[in-house]
Amino acid sequence: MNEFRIPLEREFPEGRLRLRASHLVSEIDTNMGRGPAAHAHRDPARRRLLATIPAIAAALVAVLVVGTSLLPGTTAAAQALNKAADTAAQQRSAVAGPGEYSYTKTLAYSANEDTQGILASRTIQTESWVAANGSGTQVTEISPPEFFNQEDRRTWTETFGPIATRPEVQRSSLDGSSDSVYDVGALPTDPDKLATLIEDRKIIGGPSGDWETFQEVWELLGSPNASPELRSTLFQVAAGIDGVVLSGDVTDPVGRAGFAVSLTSDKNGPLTQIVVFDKSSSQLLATEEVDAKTGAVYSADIVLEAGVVASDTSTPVDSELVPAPVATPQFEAPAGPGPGSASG
Amino acid sequence: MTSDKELWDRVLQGDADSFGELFQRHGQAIYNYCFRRTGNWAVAEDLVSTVFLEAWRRRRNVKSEEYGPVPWLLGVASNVVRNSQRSLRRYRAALSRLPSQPVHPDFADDLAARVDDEKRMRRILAIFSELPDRDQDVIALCLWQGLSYEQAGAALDLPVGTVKSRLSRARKRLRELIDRSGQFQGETRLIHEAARQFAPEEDTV
Repeated sequence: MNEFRIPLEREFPEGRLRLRASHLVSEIDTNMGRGPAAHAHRDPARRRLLATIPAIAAALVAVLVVGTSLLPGTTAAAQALNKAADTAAQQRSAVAGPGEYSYTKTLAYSANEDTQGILASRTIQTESWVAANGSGTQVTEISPPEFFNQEDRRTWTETFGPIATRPEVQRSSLDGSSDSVYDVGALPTDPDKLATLIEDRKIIGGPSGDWETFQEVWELLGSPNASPELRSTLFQVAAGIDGVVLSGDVTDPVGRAGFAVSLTSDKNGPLTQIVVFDKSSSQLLATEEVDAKTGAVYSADIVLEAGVVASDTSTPVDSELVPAPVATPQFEAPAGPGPGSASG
Repeated sequence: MTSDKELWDRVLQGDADSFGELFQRHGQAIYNYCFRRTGNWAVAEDLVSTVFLEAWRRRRNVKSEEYGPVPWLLGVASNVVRNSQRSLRRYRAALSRLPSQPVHPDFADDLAARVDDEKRMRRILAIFSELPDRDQDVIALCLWQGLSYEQAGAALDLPVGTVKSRLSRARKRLRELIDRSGQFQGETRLIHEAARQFAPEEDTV
């Protein structure tokens, strides 16, 4: 075996390897289980019940009597999501044909601690051109950091030097196997089958739980090559998740009108995931993770543009799938580094 | 000392303590690998936890135990770092339960060096990121981490021939990218050396 090691190799900070090993064992014991990996599957009968909500809206009182765990919030959200599923199924396909590319332009915001323990936010703008086979190009622009107070800014510049005035640009080739673009072409459009695959984490890896399933549904929905049928099915899967609440009419971070559903997890924060859709097309507009108590935003993903284009350098002109942004996003600063940030 | 094989057998029986022992033995290698793929020590630290949590979830999927747990863990790490923001978000709840972490005095002294590492690694990654994801994996595993073709194949669940062809393709493409960029001479030399030592029968990068 080659003994060469690229430099930049360091020890784990003192004491932290043991601390993290102990945390790992604790997580397995309390939240993951020592036995074979088990995933909670939604009761298919319950999912079907939720999926029929629009049809039985007039008999809603009777449903509430039959399904005692069917909370009003969940019912309203399921109804909205099933309506969105119907809308999604009627949309024209945005899947790239031969010689075409699905184009998306997204803006991701996150607030994280860096190696020095300084809390800073960055935005990452990503433009993707994805052909039907998953190949294509991705251009990423990472913004300079934004600081939440002058002291952090000063400390940062003393360490790293002047703050860049331009974003850092990275261009990547997609070879059809990138995890940033999921292969959704062969996914089933039966809600029970798709839900089982998602809950078993067969499509995207990750921990089990409704919170995580909710998150994965929207990741798949944001796939450039998701067909109208698949998008409709994903909405139906979301309609079957417990605890989802309809937030109603909202404005997304770039000022577009839409409707939102949300799910709050008490086990980490509490933290709320908010997902915003365009009412007329059911297109995904934005997702946010916010502190359930203060409303501070830890991360957000916004779809700025989407459409099908003829080359991997062009952008949509008259085939936009989402409304154009009407405002510059502003995010409320979190009080701390947020769940999951390493401290230095 | 208990061997990795014995620990892994216990892990397959659901023994979390043995998995914690494997973390203490091999967390270091995964930590450095995650840093090389992200250029950020703080992110790398959270990613190590994420890699092991994900590895526990997938522990029954190991197809070959011939090379021990490290290549397989590096394979899991490759999947996790490929989209590190999403990976960290998925395990946000688990990471939020990490106890507050001690800041050791030595670490403060070490900070400037770590910041320099980050600057340097990010310059390398600016070029490296133009390779397709799977080609980045083989370069990082074979040239930077020092795995053999066979071990890299086990890590990525690929035939050895595919690893070789991807590595060859990636090295050529990397050379083009480096030539085009015309900068980062220090890092370029390191990549050249790594390639020469690893596969002397072929043109170096």
